[in-house]
Amino acid sequence: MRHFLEGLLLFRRSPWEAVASILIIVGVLMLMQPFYLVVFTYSFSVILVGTLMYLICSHFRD
Amino acid sequence: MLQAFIDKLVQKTPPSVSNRVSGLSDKKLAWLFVSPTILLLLAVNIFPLVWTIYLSFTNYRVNRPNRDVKWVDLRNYERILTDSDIWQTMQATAHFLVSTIVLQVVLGFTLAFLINKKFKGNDLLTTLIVLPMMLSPAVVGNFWTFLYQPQIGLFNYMISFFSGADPSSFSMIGDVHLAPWAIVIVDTWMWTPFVMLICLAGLRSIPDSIYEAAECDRASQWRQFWTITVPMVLPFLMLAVLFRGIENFKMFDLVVQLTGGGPGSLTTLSSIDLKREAFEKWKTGYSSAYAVILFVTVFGLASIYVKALNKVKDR
Repeated sequence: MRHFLEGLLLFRRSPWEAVASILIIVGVLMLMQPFYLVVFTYSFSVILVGTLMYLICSHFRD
Repeated sequence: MLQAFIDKLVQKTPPSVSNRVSGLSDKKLAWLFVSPTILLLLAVNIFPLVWTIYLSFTNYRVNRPNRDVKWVDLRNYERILTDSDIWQTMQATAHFLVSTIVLQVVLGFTLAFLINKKFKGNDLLTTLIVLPMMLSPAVVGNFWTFLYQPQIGLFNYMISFFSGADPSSFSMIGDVHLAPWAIVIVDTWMWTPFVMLICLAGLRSIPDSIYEAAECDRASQWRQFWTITVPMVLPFLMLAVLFRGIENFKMFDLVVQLTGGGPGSLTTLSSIDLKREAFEKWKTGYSSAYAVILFVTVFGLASIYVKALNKVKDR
């Protein structure tokens, strides 16, 4: 966990990619869940942030 | 012959052109060769994408080209993401996507595992299994509507033969509970052979020596399966899931032919809904926003997936 947080602070690729991946997966789950319309409403914002973050952080150093 | 042609070409090239080309560095020459492809990609892929993103912020309607185009900010996105019908469409897409992928992976891998054993008629059986994949989705959709007919359909007859139920007592396409499964069954029937072929390629790439070494170590069949077969086929399996996931996210023809999105809008997948908004209601700006949402979703998922695939391959 400490290693992960350090990686985030130092802008290392792996931890940031992990955060972006989690955001994308959560966004897709929000988009396709059958429970709350309000969750569906915010799903695209979460996917978009995750995808942009993924594109940016894939250029960070390992 | 070829040398003569090249010599002739060199002789015919005007000195002004040949001097200019021979003066180019390797890097410039590489750019010269790659530039037609880049220009084609820009025209065919990038420009439509950028144009779609622009249109998604407008109220443009393609059937009213003379009307003033207004910039509507994020209103199209807001309308889509608060629409309960589109929400339902996304749920139908999710049901279709998850069910087909799970079924196709399980059945495809099982079939590949069985076909990989050496037995008589192996090649003929592989050819027969692969046949559905070669048919047109429109044809498949059409003949499965006949198979699903409650009165004369072979599918209903088979179910009634095994269960004893009256064949005309249920309609796979007309029933609200059965219709989503009707499209899943047809897609699974059609595309399981594709997953099987990919898995078969994975299974055949495993060297026999690994199994022989495991036999020497007295590893059981079960242990060999979980520690050799599954890990070595996993990259192939993930590739199959990626291909089928992207294909099924934009599934259109098969479902339109089979159920037309019905009953009601129960089997209306996002691609069918998008087509209706764009080319039946002619809401171009609105449907562009819809397309952007679907694109970003698939792009995001594909990015994660490709990363996971590379990780598995590197292992």
